[in-house]
Amino acid sequence: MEELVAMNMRFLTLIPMLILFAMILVSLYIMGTAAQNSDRFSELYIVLLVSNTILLLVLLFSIASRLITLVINMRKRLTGARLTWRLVLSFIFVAIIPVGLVYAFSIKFLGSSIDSWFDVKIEHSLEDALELSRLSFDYRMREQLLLSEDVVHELSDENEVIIELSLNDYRRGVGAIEMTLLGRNNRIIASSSAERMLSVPKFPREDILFSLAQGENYVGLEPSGKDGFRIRTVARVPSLGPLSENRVLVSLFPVPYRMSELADRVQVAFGEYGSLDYLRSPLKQSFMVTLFLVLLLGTLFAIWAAFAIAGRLLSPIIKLAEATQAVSKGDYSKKIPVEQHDELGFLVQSFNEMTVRVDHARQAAELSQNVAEGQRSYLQAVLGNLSSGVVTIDANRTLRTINEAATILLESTTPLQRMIGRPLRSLCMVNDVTRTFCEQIKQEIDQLDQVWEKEIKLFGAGGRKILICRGIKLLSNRDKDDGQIIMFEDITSILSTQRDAAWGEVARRWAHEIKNPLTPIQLSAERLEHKLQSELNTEQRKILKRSIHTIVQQVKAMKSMVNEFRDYADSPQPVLEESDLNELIASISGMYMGYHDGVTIEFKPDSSLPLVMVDPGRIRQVVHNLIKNAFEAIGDTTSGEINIETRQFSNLTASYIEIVVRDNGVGISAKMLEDLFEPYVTNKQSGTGLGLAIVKKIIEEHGGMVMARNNKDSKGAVITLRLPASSYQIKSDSEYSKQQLEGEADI
Amino acid sequence: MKTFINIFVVFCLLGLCNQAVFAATGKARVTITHLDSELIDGVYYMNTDLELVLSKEMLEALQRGVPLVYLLTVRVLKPRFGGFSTQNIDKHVYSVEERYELRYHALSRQYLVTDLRNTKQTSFYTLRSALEYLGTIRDLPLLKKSIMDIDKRLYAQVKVKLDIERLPVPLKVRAYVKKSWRVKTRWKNWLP
Repeated sequence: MEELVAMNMRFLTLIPMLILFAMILVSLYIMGTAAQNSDRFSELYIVLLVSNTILLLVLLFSIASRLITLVINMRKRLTGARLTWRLVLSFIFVAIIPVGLVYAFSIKFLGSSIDSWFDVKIEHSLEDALELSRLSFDYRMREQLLLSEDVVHELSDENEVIIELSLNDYRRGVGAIEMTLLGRNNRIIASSSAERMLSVPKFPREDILFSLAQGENYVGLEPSGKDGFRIRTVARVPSLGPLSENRVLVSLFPVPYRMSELADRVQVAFGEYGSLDYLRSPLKQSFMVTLFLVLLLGTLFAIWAAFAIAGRLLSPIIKLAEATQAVSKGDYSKKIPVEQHDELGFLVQSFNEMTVRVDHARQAAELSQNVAEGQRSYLQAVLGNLSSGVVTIDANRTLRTINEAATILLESTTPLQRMIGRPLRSLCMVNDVTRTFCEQIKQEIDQLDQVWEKEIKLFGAGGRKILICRGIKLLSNRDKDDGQIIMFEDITSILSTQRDAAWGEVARRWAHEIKNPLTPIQLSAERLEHKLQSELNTEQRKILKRSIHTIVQQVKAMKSMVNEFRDYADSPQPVLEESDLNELIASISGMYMGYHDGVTIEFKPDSSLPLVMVDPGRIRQVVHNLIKNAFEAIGDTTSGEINIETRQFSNLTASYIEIVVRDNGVGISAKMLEDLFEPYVTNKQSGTGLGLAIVKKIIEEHGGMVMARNNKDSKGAVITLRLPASSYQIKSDSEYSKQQLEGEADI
Repeated sequence: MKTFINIFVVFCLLGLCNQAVFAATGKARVTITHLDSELIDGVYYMNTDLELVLSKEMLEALQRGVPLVYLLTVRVLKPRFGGFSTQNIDKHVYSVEERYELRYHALSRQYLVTDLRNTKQTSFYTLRSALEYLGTIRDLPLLKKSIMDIDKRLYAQVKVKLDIERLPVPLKVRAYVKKSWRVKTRWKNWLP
């Protein structure tokens, strides 16, 4: 663009061009005047014509080259080229059409007016005038000839000497200017002249000779330049005899000045008219040429003006266009100088201001974007390092964020971040853990409370897991459902730790407190028996013995119950060793064979059961408890069946073993099913109701789970024990919780 | 009366002659058919015969009143390179011009030949006579011997052409361009 403007400025600078135009205009004017045949300019005419044509050609060439460059620029799509082109075209049209019209009409009018000079009537009257002049001359010429003839008659019989003397008189007599008598071979016999110089024409003149030969004397009109007209007569002197020489008298007569003058004027007028008429078409042509040069000049001037004005006018627009391009490419630094103080200047100024504002806005946007970006990264970092799993979903239940802890807690082998953007359902299908997780929180997600909380029990690779899950509904600024944040934390060990700690503490104190009075009671009862035995009769002694026995039995029972409970509540850590469960169960179930006749006990082990790290004593206790419960549930019958199975499960996410104890007893009522594993829940008359509670505790200490349900097709209950099969290191609860807090728990 | 009728007849015939004889004008030209010089009293006099033919346009112009001027130019050149004389680059030493005007006089129906130097005018009833007269140049004093004596190597040339500059302006442009008006001879060596 710069080069376009510079090119315009450089090449077609204003002042020299105007001078050039002025020069051409002046010379065209001169040419126009010269075309009217003014002598002053007539020599200059051709020179001017040539020089003007050359100048105009130079102009034409330079402007043509400008036009070509412009077209090339347009092809190259330089800024401003198309605008300049349109402006130039408009100028050319605006210039050519009126100038062309004026030219056409000028030529026409010029032609008509030139033609109007040449009126046929004028031509005729000039011809008539000429004819009249001729006639009047003819008359005079005839007269002079007659006079000459008179003279020659006089001379015919005079000799030469006398003629010589008397010629002058004769001449004067007839009023001739000159008289010359010529003999044979143009010998001058005598001559008389009023003037010094003889104006004898060169002989022979054919026309005169011709006339004489015919026998006629000659009279002719001779134009004599400054002297006007002269009449010349050539008369043959009648010969004296056949042998005498032929003599002729040549006389020159004047024509009256006035007649000369008038005739000359007529002749000149006629000649001028005639030549002008002849020159009519060349005159028209030369005017056409001059006018055409003016037309060309006008057009070229218009084109030049177009370029100059385009340059001036369009320069701010072109600069604006370029600056706009720069801005669209992101460069906000371009400032356009305000050169004019009109609407365009205002536009330029506004543009500059706008650019500054846009730049500021952009910078502010960039800044806030950076801040937002920083905050987002910070958030990501926080989320990433949280030990709690955070899952957010939007109003359409599409996953928005999932952090690393979620992946770990939900035991996914691949990062769950890949599920972002997919519906929550798809998360559920990743593995068993996620499936359980989803099922358990499904209701909570759909309910209406703003905040919800739920404990979720899962069985993962590491065994039983309890997550505390909280959901918070997000509302957009128009109180519309904007999704939820779901946070969950593994509280397994915390729970058990807390619970055990609570129970253990209570149990220890309570056991201690209860046991304290028990011993004195027993001792007192025994002393009472011992002391009173001798004082009483047989009947009374029997009653006393029986009562004391009852007291002591019950106290012992209470002691053992207290011990049992204390054991349940405050038992030490399991001591793990690699055990073969099948062997263990087999030995225990073997013991119960024949315990009750009407009940069969069957054990179906899974032969591929791996060795597991368990505390064998405790597990034995568990198995005992379960079998005993089964017997009790069956009760007194002949078709009792107890089936024990072991099985192994292994999939991508977890591997565990199960021990299933099935009976066909009374089953578990719905009411009891709820609190089955709570302490002191029992449907039995006797027993502490701690059996299943102890089972649950022990299994959970091993990182396992206990599940109870009724048989589907028949009566009876099914108790399932699930234990982790992988080499699971059961850490001490205190160790585990410590690690969790420090975020190093690995599962 | 008789005389008058004769004159009239002669005029008419001559008038017709004018047209008849030169109706078939060919291509305009002027040719130097003869050229010599006479040295009299230290002045070179030129005698030359020219053959003049007018084109149809020239004839028409002439008869409508446009005067035709023939220009006779004599130039003296000095050769630049030793003995070789190349007229295009030899040095101009001196030149002299002589003009003759041929014009039609409508009143008397004659053709006037005027020597523009001394305004001597001669009239002719026929164009042919006029052209013959025009083409017969005798004893034209043009060059002083003293000019030629400056340098032995000097030589003189002569050229005759239709003087276009003397034509009326509207005709000039046409005459410059059209061949039918460009009537001229080549430079012909005259002296020594």
